Amino acid sequence: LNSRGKEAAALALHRFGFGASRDSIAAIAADPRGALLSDLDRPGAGFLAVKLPSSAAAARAVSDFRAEEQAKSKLAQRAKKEAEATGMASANDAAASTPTMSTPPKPSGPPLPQQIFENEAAARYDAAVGADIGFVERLVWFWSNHFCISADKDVAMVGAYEREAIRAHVLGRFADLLIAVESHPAMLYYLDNVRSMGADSIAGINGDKGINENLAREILELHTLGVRGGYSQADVTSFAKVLTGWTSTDAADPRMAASFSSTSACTSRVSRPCSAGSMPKAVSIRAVPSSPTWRIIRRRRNTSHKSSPATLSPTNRRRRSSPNWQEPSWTATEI
Amino acid sequence: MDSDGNLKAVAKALVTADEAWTPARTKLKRPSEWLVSMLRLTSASLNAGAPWNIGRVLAVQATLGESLWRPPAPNGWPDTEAAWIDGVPHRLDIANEFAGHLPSSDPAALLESGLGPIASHNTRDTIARGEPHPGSCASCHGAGISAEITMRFVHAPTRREMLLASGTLFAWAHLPRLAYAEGRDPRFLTIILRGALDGLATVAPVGDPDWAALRGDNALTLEGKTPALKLNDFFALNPAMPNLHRLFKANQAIVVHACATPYRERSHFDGQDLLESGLAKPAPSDSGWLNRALASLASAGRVDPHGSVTANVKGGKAFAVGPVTPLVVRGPAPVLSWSPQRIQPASADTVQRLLDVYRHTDVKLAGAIDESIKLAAIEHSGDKAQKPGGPRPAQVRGYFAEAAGTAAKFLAQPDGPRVGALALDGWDTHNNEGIAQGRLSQLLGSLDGALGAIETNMGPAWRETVVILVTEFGRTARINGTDGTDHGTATVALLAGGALKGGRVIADWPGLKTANLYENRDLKPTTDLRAVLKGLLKDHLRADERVLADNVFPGSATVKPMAGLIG
Repeated sequence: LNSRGKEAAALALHRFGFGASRDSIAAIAADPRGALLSDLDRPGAGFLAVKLPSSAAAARAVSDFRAEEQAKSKLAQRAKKEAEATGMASANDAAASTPTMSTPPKPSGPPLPQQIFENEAAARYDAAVGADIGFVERLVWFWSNHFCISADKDVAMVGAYEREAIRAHVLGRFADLLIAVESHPAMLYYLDNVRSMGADSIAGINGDKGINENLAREILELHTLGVRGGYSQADVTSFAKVLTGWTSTDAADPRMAASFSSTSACTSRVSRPCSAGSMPKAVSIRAVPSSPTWRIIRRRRNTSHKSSPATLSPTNRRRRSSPNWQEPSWTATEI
Repeated sequence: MDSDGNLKAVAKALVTADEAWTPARTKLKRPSEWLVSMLRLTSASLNAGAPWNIGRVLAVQATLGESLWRPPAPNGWPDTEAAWIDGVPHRLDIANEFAGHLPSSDPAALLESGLGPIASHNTRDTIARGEPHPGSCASCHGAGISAEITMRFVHAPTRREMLLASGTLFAWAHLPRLAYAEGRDPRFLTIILRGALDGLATVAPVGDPDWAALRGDNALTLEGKTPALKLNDFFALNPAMPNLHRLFKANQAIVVHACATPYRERSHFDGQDLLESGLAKPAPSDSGWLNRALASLASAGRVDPHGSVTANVKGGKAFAVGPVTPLVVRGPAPVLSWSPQRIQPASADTVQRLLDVYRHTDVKLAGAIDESIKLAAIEHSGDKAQKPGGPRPAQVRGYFAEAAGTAAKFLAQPDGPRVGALALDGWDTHNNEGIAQGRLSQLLGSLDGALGAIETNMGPAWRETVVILVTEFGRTARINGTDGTDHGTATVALLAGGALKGGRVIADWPGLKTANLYENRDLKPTTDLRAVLKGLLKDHLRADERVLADNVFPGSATVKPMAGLIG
């Protein structure tokens, strides 16, 4: 093969892909452009081959894990207090004679939240390192960074978010990507929309709560129009009002998760303030039979904004690629 | 292109564009991309037992300043070379260690696999000149190849300019000559609080009759369960900051309130750019006000890491190792940086070989590498107890104190730098702010601990020190719907240090009645932050007033330096 072909192949691998592996320059030197185009046209491009828990399952598991940890630490404290009160020689003795939860022997490896995170990270690295070229993976990383969230705020969902919101649409329409991202529980949580509500809505009045403009601002500034993109503070505030009601059940709410003996009951209780029957036009767009799970609720409850723009409403979006719209786009990655 | 927003069509257009195939390679890979390239080339395993298992890879990525799925702000990681180039010497150390785990392999073959015909002649020559010992030299070859292969390639997608850093100290290793000639040896540390600090929750106007009504249960007062710390008859400090309160009472702290940069929009990222660039309006800038101020100061000699003040070498090389260089210190003046060393450094031999490569191909990279040798010297003279090890848990309190305390240790040394800057993240309190108890309270407590660490570690130099804490803008005067505050305008600037004429709150108080609020939502700015900064630069470091007005803060002639801050 001539040197020009190899040069283009090396450029293709480094510029569009994740760099060369041992024989990859030679492998695509005959037609570097064609190799990049076929990377895009691969069946299943963008998706991971491994099965990992959904964001709902991961959030639930981490919530349960934390609840149990909290209970264990409470029991230990209680035992210590009792030991001090009864003047026993050591808290350890007291703990031994106090009824404790039966706990399986401590599993090796990192605690569950870190385990979930590392499994997601390993799948991501495996895909990048193992790809023939890695063009689609680069695009996944790009959009994931553009629509970033942080594990510092929620370690359970951060990996699943990338699979469910980014990968599912990385080669699809930008509008679908945008809606999948902004309506994902992880994003709603990251940019504080989960508890944003109209001050004059029923839930707002009853809870003395109101709007939080963080998500609205960043959608305009970071995700779409760009800073100095022609919108005003009034636009941000109005958009925040439009987005009220985009929320999710809160599997990680410690007040709920703490009663570790009946976690599913807690989850449904958590969802009630969002889906209460008194709420007008509550529409669930995520309903998985095997609850407990996340649920995105769309409802119009801000009286100053009677309706959401069609482009922002998952219910109104074009359904070109997913005829059954009840299946949210961000679960499509679980292949 | 009309594709109905089809992203695959966009990707195909990128590939088919002729511009995509120009040979020019002008961009640095992000650390994560660089790591993947290295792993791909060497067919490295990420399995649990492998030397570079996933835990190790994640730790290394974090060390390079790009912690996976943990960007410090919603605008993600920067994609610009300027943001990452200062971390390049760290990459060499990592490549070196990585190469140490490779089975002995033929460096020339690796080069051919990785770059093929696009490898530079210099790289080929350097590899070819290497001795044929697979053991000792495999490392340096591996490192060299990895570095060359993976450093300089264009990203197909580019992202907006974005600048941030996390706790790395950037410092100027010169003595300001005019101040030095007066028999002073001033230290100046700028701490940037990224995310917009709630000034009203930090220093509360308890004497304002509208205060309690404005913030309701969230208003700090002198009564109640967690009473604020009284500063004067009008202002009180958040109870989480006893160190700052003590310094204030000892006339070693100043609060400037209702203060803001000239920025009047509410974007963090434009706001931070403006805070750091020193410009009057948001605009692209490749340098920051602190660096330009330093560049204007005559040097009384470079501080030598090896212990003595050497001859005047104004204009010496820039030198930094750190995750991401903040804009405020970028620019023409020579700046050092320090962040905890957690990787066994590359051998001097490896570094020299790479220098040989880059001196011919890329002067900027060579500069960064060249200075890394001096970095090691500074670090070791700075803190002998610093041990390499795994990344520590991200515990804010310890982290703030470590970053700030280490900064102070460097600044305190007779042969250490005199002017430094670092950035601390996490002030964007939209939700459950926790002013008296909770998140903000903990953050302020951490910051207070950091101030304490600075004071302690500065030792006798504290009396010549000024620390200023600044943030891009304030937050809404009222509490929002989720017990937090949204982006606002005026806020506080906090000053501490023995060189101050302290014990004062400086404010032209705008009032808190609805009519007094800026756009009916924010504390109205009445003091220009540039006046404060100019006052410090002029009276503490002896920067020239005209240079400050024209060059350091361009177009700020009408904003006079605030007088009398320094005692």
